[in-house]
Amino acid sequence: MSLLTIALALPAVASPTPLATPVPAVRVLPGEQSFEQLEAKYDEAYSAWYKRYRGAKTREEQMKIGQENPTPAWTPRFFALAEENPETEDAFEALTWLVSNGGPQDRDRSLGILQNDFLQHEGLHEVCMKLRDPSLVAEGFLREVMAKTSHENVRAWTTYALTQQLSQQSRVADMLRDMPEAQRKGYANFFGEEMVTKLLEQDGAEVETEIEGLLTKICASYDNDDLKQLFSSAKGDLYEIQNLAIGKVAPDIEGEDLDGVSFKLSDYRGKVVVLDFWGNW
Amino acid sequence: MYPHERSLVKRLADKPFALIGVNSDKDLEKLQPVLEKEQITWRSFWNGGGTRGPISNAWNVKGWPTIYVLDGEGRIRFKNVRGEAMDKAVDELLAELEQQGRKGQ
Repeated sequence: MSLLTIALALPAVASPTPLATPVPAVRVLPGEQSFEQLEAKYDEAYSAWYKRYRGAKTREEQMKIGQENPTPAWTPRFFALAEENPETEDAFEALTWLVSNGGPQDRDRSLGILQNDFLQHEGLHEVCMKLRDPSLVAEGFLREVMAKTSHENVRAWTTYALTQQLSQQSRVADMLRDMPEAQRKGYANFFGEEMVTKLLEQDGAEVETEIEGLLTKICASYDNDDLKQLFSSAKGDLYEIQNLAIGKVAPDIEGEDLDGVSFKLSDYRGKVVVLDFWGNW
Repeated sequence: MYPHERSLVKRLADKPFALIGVNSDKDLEKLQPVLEKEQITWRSFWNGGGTRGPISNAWNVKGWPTIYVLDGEGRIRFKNVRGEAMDKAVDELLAELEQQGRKGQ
């Protein structure tokens, strides 16, 4: 079969269009050759924009200035820095910056490069801890780092980051299930069609079991001084799953009210209770 | 927040219902005038002066407000319901309680 026959056999939409739109070539500019320099220049541009944004006199004006947020225009420059200096600290920092500041597509593209070039980086958990928004690419990245890193510290934090990613997925799944189908469109645009489909189909109890398993592993393996903060976060989350889930009898609270009078939560047995953790801020 | 809670407490004044707070403010003295101004009549535990107090720590609270709704047996039945959803949750549990009461007679 000739190439021409193949092209003719394909449906019109798929025919001669290239698979990916070519990315306009962005080169690293003089004076932006290190991450530090580039970030300083970006910060300057961002501050100037933010000042204008805050100074807007009407809501309309603010909306208009809001559209001019400089970040999307700067992300190609961070990619250029990373790609022209592969496997350097500058590349690592630029990619970390993109994970925090870029859109979902920038994040996913950066994670791809990080997974290829920096899988054994000893600071990789800093990136992992930023991956809370539901994303299949992020989830895959976290699982890969967890399995392959040779740094125990990175593995510990990444395990916790995976529990955060999975919990957030569960929360969003609950939210999506509760909303009318038409409203889900916006979320599909943001999180990706595939992610939304997975969220709507997933078994919440199974995800919960995996989270519980990961937290149990952290509590069993990392009870040491270096990972104190991680250990106490994991312990708190595990307690919440095991004792504060829907259907559990609430643990009692004993304390003083705002007048200094002692009382207990269980004093209110027999009544429906709304327990409200609040503060005047 | 306060207006909704005030109206809930008022609406259910003669029902087996209680709104219990866990207050995580830093300064109890500065809170007193707020209690008066906002007519916060419901009872609150004092979390010891901050968001890292013993009660919120024990309950792994990371965001404020965090809300739990308990049934008459002290069982956790809803989490983080706000506004109308909170009213609905409470009404559902009150109806349940009433039905149990009837059965018990």
